[in-house]
Amino acid sequence: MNFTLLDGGGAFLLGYLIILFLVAAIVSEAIVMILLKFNKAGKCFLDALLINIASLVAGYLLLDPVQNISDKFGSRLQIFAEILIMFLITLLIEAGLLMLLNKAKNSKQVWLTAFIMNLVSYLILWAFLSF
Amino acid sequence: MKLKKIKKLPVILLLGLGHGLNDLTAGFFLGSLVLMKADILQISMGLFLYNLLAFGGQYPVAIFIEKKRSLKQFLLLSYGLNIFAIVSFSFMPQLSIVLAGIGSAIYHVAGGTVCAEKNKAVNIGIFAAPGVAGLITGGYLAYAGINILPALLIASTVFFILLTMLPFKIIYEKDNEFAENKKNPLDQHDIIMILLLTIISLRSVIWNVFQLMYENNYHWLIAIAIAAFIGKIAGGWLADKIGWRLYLMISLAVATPLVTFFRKELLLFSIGVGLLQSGIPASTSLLIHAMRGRIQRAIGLSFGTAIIGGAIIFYTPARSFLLSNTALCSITVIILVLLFFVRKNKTGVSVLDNNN
Repeated sequence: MNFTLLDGGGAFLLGYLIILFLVAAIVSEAIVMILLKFNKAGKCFLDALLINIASLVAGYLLLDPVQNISDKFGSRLQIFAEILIMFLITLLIEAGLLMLLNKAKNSKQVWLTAFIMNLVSYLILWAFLSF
Repeated sequence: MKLKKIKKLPVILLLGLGHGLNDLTAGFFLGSLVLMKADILQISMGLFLYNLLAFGGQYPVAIFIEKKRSLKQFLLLSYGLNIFAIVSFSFMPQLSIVLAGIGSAIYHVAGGTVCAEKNKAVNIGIFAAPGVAGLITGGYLAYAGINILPALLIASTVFFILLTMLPFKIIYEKDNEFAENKKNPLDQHDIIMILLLTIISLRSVIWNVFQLMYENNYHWLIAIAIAAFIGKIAGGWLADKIGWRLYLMISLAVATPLVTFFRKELLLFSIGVGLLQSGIPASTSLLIHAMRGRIQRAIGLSFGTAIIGGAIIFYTPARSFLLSNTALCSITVIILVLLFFVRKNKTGVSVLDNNN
């Protein structure tokens, strides 16, 4: 089975692992937002929920194209290529949505927050896959 | 919050029909997805995502709809998404699943809100009844290899046109209920109890449907669909007559032995399923009442969040235990006890009876 990765997606983890990862991603990203004083706690959790569902949907839709691209990198690099591509896509989607949900915030702050929280959630995803 | 200028029964019947068509489409998509020669990961992800969007998405949709003035726009949007999903299914089923999931979430909340305007369980029942029937029929047609995409496209387009021709503008206006909400915060016990009830009412059915789907036993599935259809309408009507809470207690108490101890007796089991499903309109009405008329949110919770909450349990290792008769009977007893005790709020005014 070919394991492509997506934040909030964990799209390729089977059964209850999908839900566990989704919850872990939402909680970790919300915590990062709270620590960075991005918003109040409730708003951070709501935003994290919405952006992770959006990135999960994107991961599902882009499953095939991403795998087709990553196939060209050869078996050793394939998993890294998939992670990198998905990370970038996730970053774009989540930063874009965060901007829409927080129009008063400046874009630098949004991009930085999105970058850090996705680093954290991808580390968690890596742990899930390794496990 | 009140709706105005609504001709009730024809609209409710029409929206109920639309609910059936919406779920028929979803059932056909999901059934076809399972039968496709796709990666197991794609299939399981598609099923999961549809449920997440269609059911989990209802509460966020409800919050959004609450802020807007026209429910009709949302009804049109949901069917627009459905039509687009049907068109794209042949060449991009993943996109269809996503669109159908979003459309379904919107339709359930918007349509349910219109039908629940006066908080009559029978109206909610009429709206809810065709759902399971549509879902199972769609799954069966996919299983039988019958391509109904052209028929779905025509039917959905006709329904979309009918929606545009509705002879009224569905508008709701703000009244004092929100102010009242702030003064009297919702009694959390009531909500938890009702959600538990909804979850448990549907849990058994969902489980049985899944079990039976694995066995491809469509005779049973169709019997369940008919029982659920009749149960919701009859249950809504009866609950309005004798009281929502009392009806829930009686239907649950009678249904539990039938679905646990007579699982292999088609007739008795179907009656049990019908009784379980018949509690949905009453529990929805209770929820709307307990939430002081926040119809959209109550519908989103009852038709969406509670259902996905119950379904998620089946992704966990607790699944095998929950399928046992012991677990089912224990949960029923807990619910009955909660229903008995959680009767009055702090002010001493009953929030669980419809005749107050």
